Amino acid sequence: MAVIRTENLTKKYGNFLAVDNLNITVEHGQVYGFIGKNGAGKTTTINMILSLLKPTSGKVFINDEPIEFEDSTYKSKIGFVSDVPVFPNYMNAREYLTYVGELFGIKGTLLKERVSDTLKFVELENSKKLVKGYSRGMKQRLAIAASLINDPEILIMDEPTSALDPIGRKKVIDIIDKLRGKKTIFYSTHILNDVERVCDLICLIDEGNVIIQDSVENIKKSYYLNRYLIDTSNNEVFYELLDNSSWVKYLNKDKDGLIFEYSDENDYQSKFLPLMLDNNIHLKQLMKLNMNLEDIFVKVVDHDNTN
Amino acid sequence: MITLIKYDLNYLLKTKKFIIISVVVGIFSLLSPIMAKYLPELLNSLMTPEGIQITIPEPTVMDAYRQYFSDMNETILFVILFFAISIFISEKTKGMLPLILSKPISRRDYIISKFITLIILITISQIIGILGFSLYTYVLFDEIAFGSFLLSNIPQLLYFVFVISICLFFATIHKSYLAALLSSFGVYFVLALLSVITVGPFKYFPVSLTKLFSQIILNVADVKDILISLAVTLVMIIGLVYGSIKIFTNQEVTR
Repeated sequence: MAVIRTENLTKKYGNFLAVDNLNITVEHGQVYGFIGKNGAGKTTTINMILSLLKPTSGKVFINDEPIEFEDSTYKSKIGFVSDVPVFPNYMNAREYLTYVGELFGIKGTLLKERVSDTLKFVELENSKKLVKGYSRGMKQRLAIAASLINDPEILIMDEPTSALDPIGRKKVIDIIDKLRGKKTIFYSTHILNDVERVCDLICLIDEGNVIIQDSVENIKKSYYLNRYLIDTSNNEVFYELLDNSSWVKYLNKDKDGLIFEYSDENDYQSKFLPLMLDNNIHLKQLMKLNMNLEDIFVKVVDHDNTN
Repeated sequence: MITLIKYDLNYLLKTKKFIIISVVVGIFSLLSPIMAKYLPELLNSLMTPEGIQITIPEPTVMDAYRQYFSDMNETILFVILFFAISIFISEKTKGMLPLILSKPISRRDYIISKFITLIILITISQIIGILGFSLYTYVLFDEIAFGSFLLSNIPQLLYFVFVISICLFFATIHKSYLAALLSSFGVYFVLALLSVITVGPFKYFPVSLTKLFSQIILNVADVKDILISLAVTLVMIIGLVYGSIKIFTNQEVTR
């Protein structure tokens, strides 16, 4: 069952198209990485899912039910973590979670148990100080605790690690990892190392459009087959030779040699070695490159923008 | 909605806003009878040239009432304006509103809870003022028409609620504190100017409520006029709150 689904979701601000006919489907139990550069339309999409913004056209469905802007009842199934969470300065963590729990209608012993459990889950159970004295990392963990207080079916996280240092980031990613399989997580970010670690499926958007939507493994397979690093006895000459070869579609100088990518495997197999031998170039090193998600992201977005 | 009101009252208590408003109202209510009693004497002793005898009429309890309502309509009303807008708009300006609205909270309940919280704050402050004023007036003037005075505070309270509803309306429309404050002041200023017109429908405008105290205390009030003024103000309050709800339920909230 699709837990979150958008159907031709569009948001326009005057002539600016923030989200353009977005069609995404998040299945039950998935950790769905919603990635894109700043201004790609990630936050606008989340704001429409949360009914903070009205779609110009299109629909959002939660558990296959269309949501209406005025309706807030579906939000009882959702936990939300923003990029830079804001808290009432005069409260401590326990008071804040109690307040959020009450907003969800949780009361009495159940509320006390949930507050204690969630504080323990995000490792803030011993913190007695007011929230205004918290580090960014602690605030973000408290925001996650608040998003879990209602035991939501869906967790929407909007760049939860973007303002954190590496240690804070790791703690947040560890928490998401612990939630894997227990919640459906809609995880928006532009930090791709985090995505590779926790997401089952990713959706890359740019200028409000879906560019890729697939599993991390499939995307890596699709985008990473043909790129090599080569170091030879004469890189300057071999660069010229490769540059004049029609089967080379990408070529770049690197501190360790040359990076090239072929367009046609048959040509590569039949012409690569003769090219070296005929020109008396000796091979020192040839290594297939493993691109990471970030390379793919840059490649795809750059290609998209160039076109 | 009760959770929201509880949270807002907790906010007012923890940030000392509740105490500040109550103390300000309390101080002015204590000062009113003192000023009415001793200010004429003080001015006389400071301003009368030597050798000239000026007879100042003995201050009466009516002067104390006048002073009290004058203080309430000028100083206290400005305090309410500043505080009300701050309370209504702070969650918007501090970026907490999207987090609150990401929960299953009806936007109508959100607006009404803010409005009710402010009414609770002002009502309690006014009760403190009434008690403080009555006690000091009785001590200084040996008399207090407590029942009439209490009654005369009802139109006053309704006028405060009207001002609160103006603040709510503009705090809903605007995103910044200053814009909401200036708009509310603008409307308040125009209404104050209109108060000089005492004919036709203007006679029943909300500002008229601030002038009823002497008639009520002296028991010479035209009940029909009072009821019309109260009804007109009530309709305007309902209109402003309804407008705020309508605007807020359709308003986009950005992060």
